[in-house]
Amino acid sequence: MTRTMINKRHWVAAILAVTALTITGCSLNEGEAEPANAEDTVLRIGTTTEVSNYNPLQSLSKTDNWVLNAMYPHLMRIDENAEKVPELASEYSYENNGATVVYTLRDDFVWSDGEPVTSEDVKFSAEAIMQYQLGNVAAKLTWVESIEAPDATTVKFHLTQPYAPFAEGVGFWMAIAPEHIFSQAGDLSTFANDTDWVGAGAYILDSVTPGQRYVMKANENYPYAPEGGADVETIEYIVYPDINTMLLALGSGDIDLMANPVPASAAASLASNEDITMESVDSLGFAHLTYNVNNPLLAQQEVRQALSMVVDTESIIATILQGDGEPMVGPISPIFAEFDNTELEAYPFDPEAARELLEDAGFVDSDANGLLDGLSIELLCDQSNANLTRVAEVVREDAAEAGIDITLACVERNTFLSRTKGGEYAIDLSQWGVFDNPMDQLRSTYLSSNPGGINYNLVQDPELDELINDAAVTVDHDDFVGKIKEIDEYVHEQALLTPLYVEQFRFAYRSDRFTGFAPSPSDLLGMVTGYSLSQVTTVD
Amino acid sequence: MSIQQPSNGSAVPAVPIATLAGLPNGNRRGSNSYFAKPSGYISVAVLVVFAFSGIFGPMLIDRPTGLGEDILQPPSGEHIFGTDDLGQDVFAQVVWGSRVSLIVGVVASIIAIIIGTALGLVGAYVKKLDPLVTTLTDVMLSLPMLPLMILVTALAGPSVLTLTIVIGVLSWAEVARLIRSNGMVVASMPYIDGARVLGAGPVRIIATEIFPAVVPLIVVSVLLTAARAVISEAGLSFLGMGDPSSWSWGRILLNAQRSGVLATAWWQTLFPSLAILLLVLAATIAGIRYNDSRDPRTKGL
Amino acid sequence: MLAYISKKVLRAVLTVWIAVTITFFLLRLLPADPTLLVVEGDMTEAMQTALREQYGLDKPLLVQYVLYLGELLTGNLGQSFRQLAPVSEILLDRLPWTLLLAGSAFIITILIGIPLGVYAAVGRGKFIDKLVQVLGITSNALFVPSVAILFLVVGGAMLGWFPIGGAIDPDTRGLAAYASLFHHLALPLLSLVIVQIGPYALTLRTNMLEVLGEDYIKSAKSRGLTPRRTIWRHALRNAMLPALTLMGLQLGALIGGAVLTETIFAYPGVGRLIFEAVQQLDYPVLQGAFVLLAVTVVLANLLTDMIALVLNPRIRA
Repeated sequence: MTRTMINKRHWVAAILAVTALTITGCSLNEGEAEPANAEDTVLRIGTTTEVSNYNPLQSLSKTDNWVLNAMYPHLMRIDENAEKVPELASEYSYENNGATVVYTLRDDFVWSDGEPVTSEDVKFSAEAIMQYQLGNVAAKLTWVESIEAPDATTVKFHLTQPYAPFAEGVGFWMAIAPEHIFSQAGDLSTFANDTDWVGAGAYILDSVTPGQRYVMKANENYPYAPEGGADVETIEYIVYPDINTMLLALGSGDIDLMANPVPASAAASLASNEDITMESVDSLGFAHLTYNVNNPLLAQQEVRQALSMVVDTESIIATILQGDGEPMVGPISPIFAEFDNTELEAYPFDPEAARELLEDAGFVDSDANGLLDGLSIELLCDQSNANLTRVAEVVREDAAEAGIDITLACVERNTFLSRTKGGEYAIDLSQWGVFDNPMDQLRSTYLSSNPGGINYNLVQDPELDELINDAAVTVDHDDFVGKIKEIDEYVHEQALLTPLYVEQFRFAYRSDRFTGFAPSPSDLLGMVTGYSLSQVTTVD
Repeated sequence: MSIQQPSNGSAVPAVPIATLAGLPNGNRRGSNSYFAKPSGYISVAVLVVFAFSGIFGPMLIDRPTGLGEDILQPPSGEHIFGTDDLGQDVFAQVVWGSRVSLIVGVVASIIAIIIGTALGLVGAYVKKLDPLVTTLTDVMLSLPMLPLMILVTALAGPSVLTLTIVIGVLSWAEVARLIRSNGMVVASMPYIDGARVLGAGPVRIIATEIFPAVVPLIVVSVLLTAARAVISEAGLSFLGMGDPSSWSWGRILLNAQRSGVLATAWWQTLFPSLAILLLVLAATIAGIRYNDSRDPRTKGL
Repeated sequence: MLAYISKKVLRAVLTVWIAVTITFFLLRLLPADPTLLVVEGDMTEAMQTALREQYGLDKPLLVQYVLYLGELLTGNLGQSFRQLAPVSEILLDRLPWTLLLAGSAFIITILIGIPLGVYAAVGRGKFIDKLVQVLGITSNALFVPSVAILFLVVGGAMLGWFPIGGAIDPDTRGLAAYASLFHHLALPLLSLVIVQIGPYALTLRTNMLEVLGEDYIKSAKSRGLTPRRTIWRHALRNAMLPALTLMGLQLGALIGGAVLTETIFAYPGVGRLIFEAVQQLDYPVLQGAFVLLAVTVVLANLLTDMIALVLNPRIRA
């Protein structure tokens, strides 16, 4: 009996090993892609997280968008100059004094199961979004009274009032889903759409290995692909939860492109690798300090102006962004070149002058400790944005010179979002992701009625409301531009915010293997739009 | 004296703390005084250096902050541990981080020891409560602790205080097990019966008879639990669950990872890693040496 | 023997129940509102309310708890907040990788750790003993991310010997698939083994020393059994019993190590899922993952208890 001891140990070990291997082996064979054709050109892209939602009408996540954008067409896309250009729609026009929007569709988009893409798909998608209040597009469709599809290539949106940015806003944001599939799916707010995908974009999702990779196949019928079809036949998204491992994988050639921007700090190490090229891409948002005017101190224009004078945007861009950013003045980003009021002058970085301004406004330093009495303000920031937590520290130090005592509350991201949502902050330091047009931006951020829920100033200014509402219904383009510039100036003088920078993103790829990307601005689009990937060619 | 009872279904397995506390001294003869071996004074010296840097370092060295001119510089005369991606001095970060590591390590360890000792003594002497204590201890030992700590930290919001309490409250089980098993040996000794016959109540017997007998084990446990706590704190901070407003060794590693410089700025990962290793090693060895140097007659109790 | 088994099973059930209860209440008390996470600005109050109702967050806590327990019994872990998929499905996709990583780390650690402990105990005070003690104590003091980062940077990035990230190359079949599997597994596995092996070897050494001092071993020697036979058959067998229980308990620490390792190596297991779910405040996934890991550890403990039963007839009494 005693002689079995060692054998038993081996036996236990063997059982454990076999169990582990069997379970793993089962999962290997299940839910797995057909092996890629050896001839296929595969482009491997690093992403940071799983696709959380495959329903294109519903998903709001940036990383989901990278995959879904390539699969489902939009009426319009944003090109490298931040212009909206035709995608599924060949053109749009306004009728009925701007209260009716008419899109004309291309007739050569085809779903991957062979059905043509028609106006019914567009009508269905918009109506489903309105019915189930899906995603952020629902807010953009607020004024839609009815939708009409008179023929296969025409869609008409009837609005309760004219709204100039409607066509481009909805055109860019709304994904078009196949009516013949989605109408059979029941409740679209819970429809997962996680298998047997039917798309009409440049690449169609083919298989998913959870936690690991997403394999997409080129769509032969994608109208914007070059003659003879896209060079890249297969796209593989590979999940790397942290940016550092992804960088190492790019360096070692395990992936060919990073969907995420390269942090400024890591750019130098990639620059020395001659197989890797970095593409510089504009942003469609910006970083900013926004002042809660419900705070008695920040309700005073002088305090807001003084704060604007203690923010050294130049040094911040030089060090924290390593020069990869552009300064801006007023709430309208230079990305919207046509609308940016270039006559505005930035508040100078001058803590001394800021102190004088405050002293003129009646603040005194009675105990001579260098800080003005009662001028203590909390700054809320998002811990997950490393750049901004650094900005917070720099601003705090400079503000002290002007006699303003800033206390930092750089908190974990979810707490940050929750406090932001609840208005529990004095100064909010954060970064907007994508504003696709200035009108939607101004409406969302400054209207008293707060339709987009992101009026972080909590400002209720009748004069500002009137300026915005007036601009919103202006159909004449030149008038419209003038009115936007006027609002830009008004907000700047009020110093409702201190804009920090428009970040310049860098996207890195293996230029020893691929070339020809057509990047669009923002990290939401970047290098990985379906259009961009379909233009890529291999390097011999 | 063996504390292992293989014939009993609820055998007390040696858990790592007990293992380390029970590492027998190879040297059976001669002096066992604490400083008889170099490992004794080296470990104490290292602990003193860390304590010094944690207490006085932040007074001597400026808090790493702001934007420096020299970004990602390798170690040099000016920055002996190099600089990070914002030009901050990594040496200053390590020094400031030692304060947090020490606070969390020591305080969390004390919390764990108080809970663990109390439960262990109750389990050892109060027969009725023993099954409850044993079950609770076993349950705590079986749960995967790091995931649980992540959850609780996320709940309470990351801060040094949260980390300390979470780590302390979730680390008592090994201590309880060790104290209970050794306390039981004491409790079964004839003189305890004698005390009972003389009219001593359970509280008094635990406090005056059993507790003093396990004090040396508590000292060892403090050191070993503190070493564990330092590693737990670094792990949580590395996963982004640390205090955002104070420096910690885990956070330096996290910064290096987030800014994507692991492969290039080796100094940003090497030095905090070495600090963790040295501190934990020193605490462990100090604990073992202390155990070795105890009077052989009480050893194993 | 029946009493022994039922006691162990009862304790296992109790442990799982406590794990379930703790996590349920902890997770429901998280400060931030999960509906905020699906927002990039343009969501109205009405949409948020609808979302909360959809996830049952509007009901009283105790009702949610009872409902949750009921669902658990039917194997339903709920629906993920972030992904439109059942939690059980998400977890089962990830579990095999964690089992493979932790399981093989466990086995290799035992296969190397046990001989190390035995040799150290037998050669007590000699070089081998000191070496094992030094290595064991050092291994016990290592910080998992430090070790993992070192392997990742050196073995993956600098030397290029091992792939960076992932668990298998999807384009491989048959033997090549297994080769790819082990190729991806090697570095995470090595990191885990190196930090786990110390405690195992030291524990076994301690237990061996005690057993070697006991009377029946001495009598075995005096009966003329060879030292080799005495050590490997009689002594190890008895030293293994407490060591087995320890190894079951150490699985909790092993899982903790796996969370860190999987995160660093982008290995697609449950540990990495936990890390992602915390960042996304995906309550149901966190709950499910923790419950699943607790169940795994408890089952492994039960298994080791049963093995102890087989090895030691005295327990059956």
